[in-house]
Amino acid sequence: MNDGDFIITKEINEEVTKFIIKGRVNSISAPELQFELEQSLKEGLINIVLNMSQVEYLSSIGVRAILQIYKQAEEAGGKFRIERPSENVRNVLGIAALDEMLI
Amino acid sequence: MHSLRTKILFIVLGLFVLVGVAFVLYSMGTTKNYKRLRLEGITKTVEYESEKVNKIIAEIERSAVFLALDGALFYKSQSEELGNTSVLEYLRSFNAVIGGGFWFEPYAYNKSTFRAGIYAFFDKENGEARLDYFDISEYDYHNMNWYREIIDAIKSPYQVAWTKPYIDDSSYSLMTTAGAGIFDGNGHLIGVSIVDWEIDKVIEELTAIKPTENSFVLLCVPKQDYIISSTRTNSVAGASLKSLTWDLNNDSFELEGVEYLRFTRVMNNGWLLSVQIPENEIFAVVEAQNNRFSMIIAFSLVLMLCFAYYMISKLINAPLKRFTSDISQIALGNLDIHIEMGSKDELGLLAKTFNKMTADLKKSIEAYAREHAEKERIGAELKVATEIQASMLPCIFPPYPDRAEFDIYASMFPAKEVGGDFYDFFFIDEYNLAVVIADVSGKGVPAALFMVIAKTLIKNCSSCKKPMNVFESVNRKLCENNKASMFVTAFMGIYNILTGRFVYVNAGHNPPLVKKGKGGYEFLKTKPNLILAWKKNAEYREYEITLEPGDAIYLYTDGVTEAMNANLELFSEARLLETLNRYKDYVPTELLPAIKREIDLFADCAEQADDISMLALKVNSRADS
Repeated sequence: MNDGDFIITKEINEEVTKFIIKGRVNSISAPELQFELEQSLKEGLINIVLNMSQVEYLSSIGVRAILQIYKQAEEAGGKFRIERPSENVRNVLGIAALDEMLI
Repeated sequence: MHSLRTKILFIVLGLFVLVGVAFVLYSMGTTKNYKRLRLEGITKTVEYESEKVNKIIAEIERSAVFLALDGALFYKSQSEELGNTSVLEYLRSFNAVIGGGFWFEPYAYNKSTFRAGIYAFFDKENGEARLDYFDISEYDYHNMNWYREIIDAIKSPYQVAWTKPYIDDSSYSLMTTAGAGIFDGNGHLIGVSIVDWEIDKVIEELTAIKPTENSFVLLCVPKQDYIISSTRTNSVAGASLKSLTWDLNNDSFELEGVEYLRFTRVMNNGWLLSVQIPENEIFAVVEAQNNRFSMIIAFSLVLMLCFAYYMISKLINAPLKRFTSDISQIALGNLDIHIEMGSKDELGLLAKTFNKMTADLKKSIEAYAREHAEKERIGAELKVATEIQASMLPCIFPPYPDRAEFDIYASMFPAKEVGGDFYDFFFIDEYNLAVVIADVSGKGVPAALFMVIAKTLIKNCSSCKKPMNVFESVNRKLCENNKASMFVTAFMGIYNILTGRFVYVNAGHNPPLVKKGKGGYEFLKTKPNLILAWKKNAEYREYEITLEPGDAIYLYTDGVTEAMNANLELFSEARLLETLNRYKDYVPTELLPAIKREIDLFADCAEQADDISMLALKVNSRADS
């Protein structure tokens, strides 16, 4: 499976750290995404916004990674939100009834 | 195959041969120069030696002339004492000759004397000159060949004539005689002076001319065609030049198998002195030197080759042989070999590199062996886990052979050894059949373990009767101790075989598809509930439909809709819907393999990323209570 186009761009603002995800969030790229976000949390950047407008595909592994980050951010007293989800992302989160909580 | 040593030796040999050829070419040039110098030297020697002979001849001729003048005085004075004295004086002062004197023509000395002359000779016994006291009047010298040869040849004063070699009738020795004319006051020839030169004496002079061992000398008179002397053999004295067995006109000739070079000198009186030298003797020294030189070259060549052989063997071959033997040991798998190479050259460096490689190899092989053993162990355990997991899912079909009211079929294809998907169906009581399909987030052992818990909890909680109560209960229990943040999407329905009521609850799972009557499959979309194991007090809402005979329901996990081909396209809900409708009249046992086949066709050998699980239930009739 071609996974070469998975790109995470990090934008650190005053309050919020924004991650712009591009590509497919699957079993191969999800650990990378999770690692990146956990690093930020450890650095104290606890308010996270995930821009998923360019995510073509979100697998159940990807959902799990996002949920774990969500949990860790909440526990740290921060906020986690997904902005501008792509159709696939909205669909996957919708099925799992996570859309209200995350978007 | 040539060894390294042979190759190097060939190169060394080639170099030596080149050097040898250069030396030979150089020595050839040198030899040529040397030969020229040698010829010049011999020519000089011959000239020098023959000049001595020439001087003696000139002396003899001068003596003959002076003796003739004395003879004229003797005639004028008619004093025998004067004649005797001058002849003796002459002989004493010049010992190159054996004898000399005057001889007069008949009655020329005076009218009364028919034969007149004075002759003195050199007495070899006491080494003194003395007069010969024989009676001249009795000696018919006028008719002797030597006298006639001279008197007939003399035409003017100061002219000298020579006789052919002849044997003296008194001393019996071989000699040649020079003579000059005695003239009276009127210019008439009245007699001759003579000087006798022993051929032995000539030979003595000529023998002195000996540039090499086997050279020989010839003295001859070409004009009158006779030989005076030859150091080669005496017997030719007085003979014609034609009697020589070699050619006198060539500067080189062959005689009895030996090549001679000829050096000649014409004497002042027209005589020819010729020195013959064997060519090989002239250049013997050069040849010897050349031979010695060649020997030295050849010998040093052999010596150098031996030395090169020894050095190559010692410096390259022996270490390489040891190296090769060590490496073959390594190749056979003995990684404990440490190559010892004392030298610090390229071989030493190679050995060092090899040792490092061997050590690294050994380390990584050991590491790999450990890792491999670990993997094998895990692999074996995972296999067991897969078997255990498979055995947990109902796998005997048909499961209820005595129930003709419905057909049920399910299958699961894990992506990895153990998957997170599961399906289940069971009767919670006599008339209520529960069907479950679920997908635990993640894969592998953690997912499998979580799946086991979820499945067990769901089955054990079926006493709750209502699916929403089951999920609420299970969700609570899963949330209680979920450190790994796993979650489960699940769908559960309870079908009443008497009433056809199908009560279901969907916890974040893909919507199933339902076929009603002759119509096609449609998604059973309801407002989704939250996934299991995420929020402890989550509420689950249940819905209800009625399944008539001929209706069917199809449950699946996202491994179906998200099956991917090489172009990263998903199988998708749309494709699933279309496929199901293509096979809508199939019974469950035919339907699921058909769908799986379609998925495989679509994926076209692309790796399966997620577990694929499906469950189909078809209602045939209502059951009787």
